[in-house]
Amino acid sequence: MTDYFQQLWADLVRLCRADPRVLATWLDKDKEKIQSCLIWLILGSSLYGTSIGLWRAPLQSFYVAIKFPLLIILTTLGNAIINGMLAQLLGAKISFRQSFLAVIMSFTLIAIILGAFTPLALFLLYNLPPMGTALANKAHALVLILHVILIAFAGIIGNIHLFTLLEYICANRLKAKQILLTWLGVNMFLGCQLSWNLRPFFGTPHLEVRFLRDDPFNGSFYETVFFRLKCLLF
Amino acid sequence: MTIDIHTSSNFLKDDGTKESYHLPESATPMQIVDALLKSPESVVKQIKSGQVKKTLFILLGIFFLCHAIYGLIVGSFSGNVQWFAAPIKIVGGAALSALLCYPSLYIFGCLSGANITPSQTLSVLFGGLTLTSILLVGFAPVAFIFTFSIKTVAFMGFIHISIWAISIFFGLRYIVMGLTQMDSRKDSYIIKVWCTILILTMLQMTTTLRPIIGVSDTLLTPEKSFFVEHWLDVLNNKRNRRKNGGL
Repeated sequence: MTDYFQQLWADLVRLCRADPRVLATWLDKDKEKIQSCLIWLILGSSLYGTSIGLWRAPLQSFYVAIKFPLLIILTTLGNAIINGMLAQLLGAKISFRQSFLAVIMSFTLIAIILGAFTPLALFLLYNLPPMGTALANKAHALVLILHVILIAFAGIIGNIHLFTLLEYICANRLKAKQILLTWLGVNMFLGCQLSWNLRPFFGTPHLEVRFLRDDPFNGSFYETVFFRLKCLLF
Repeated sequence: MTIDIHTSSNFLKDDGTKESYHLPESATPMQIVDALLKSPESVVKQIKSGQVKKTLFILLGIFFLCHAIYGLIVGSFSGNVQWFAAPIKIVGGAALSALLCYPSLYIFGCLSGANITPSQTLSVLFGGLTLTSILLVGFAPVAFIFTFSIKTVAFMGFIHISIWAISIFFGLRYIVMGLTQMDSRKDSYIIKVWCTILILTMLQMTTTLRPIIGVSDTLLTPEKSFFVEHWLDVLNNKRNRRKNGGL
């Protein structure tokens, strides 16, 4: 058992060092490493998830701790086939499971970075005006901006490391760039929709705390953006 | 300790060149799918080597199956009669578009300098469309999630068209590569013209066979319309909710 945890910790360290030569060899031991990555992904994103919902209510924080890893895993699973196909078509000699692991590795790194940011996010939340005060709306906006910045930062770091790994695997910078951009596009496309289905994350101050909205499958992210833009412009 | 991937990883065991992928003479459908994704050149090589009939037969099988699977996802948006109408229309529409464009591909291929027979042309054409259909199946989980969330026919149509656009891009890339392997001139403008014709034909086919996504009283709409005109109609139609109107 101790060996297992030592191995798990060693995997975390290797993942953070993100040496493409080491991470590329993980793709050969994909079964074992998928498990290890999933554990760290769930831990990191759950921990960070608690800080997302905490300003609204402790129950919201608990819900987001479940929903945040779920969102990442569902996005990766939903795109597993197409990501594998696109990688092969664009010239990466990797199997479906290996491309799944590569994507999971980058998401795990993002989750670890976010997990490490949790104490900072909690400290900021501590200093914000709480719910029910006159400045609650301002605080809610600040929580939103803070998390967007943190997630964007972690996302950039995670994708830089994924690019380095892809560049090493493909031995071609252009191919690696193409694969990374298609993966990013496809993951964002589905991720936006799933985050819409799994809302609320931050918890709007005047709405009740819920695990999911009343009708989570009513409407889509893109429809909403389109109709909001239409209202603004016309 | 670091291990050099170039000597240890199984995905780089070959020398990394395109010719290293070997497609067996009597390849199974799964091997053909694998080759279309990993090394499309090997499928063209097999067609070129004279094994046209068998390869074409397998490609057609995959083409029909994958389009039918994606058709089911499309049909699930409206349900009812569309459960079987959408797969039939998608399979039939794609096959009909391919057959309509087949003669021009052969002529344009020859004009671009390709040394190709009519049966090889058909195999290359269906190779590209089979690759498109495989990618559509790859996108099926994504489309499935959207099917449950989207309320309007126009948006569902937009999602399907976007997915199809990405898939057909790779399909056309295969066809162009196939013709180049058959000694066609690289970057021949005439093949690009043909690609545009195929895209326009397929888009028009979606309007000819409407409704594919929404539901209407009849299985086919007798009214003739150009696809752009029809799309604009659907976008302006306020009654384009899930159960009304069709795209």
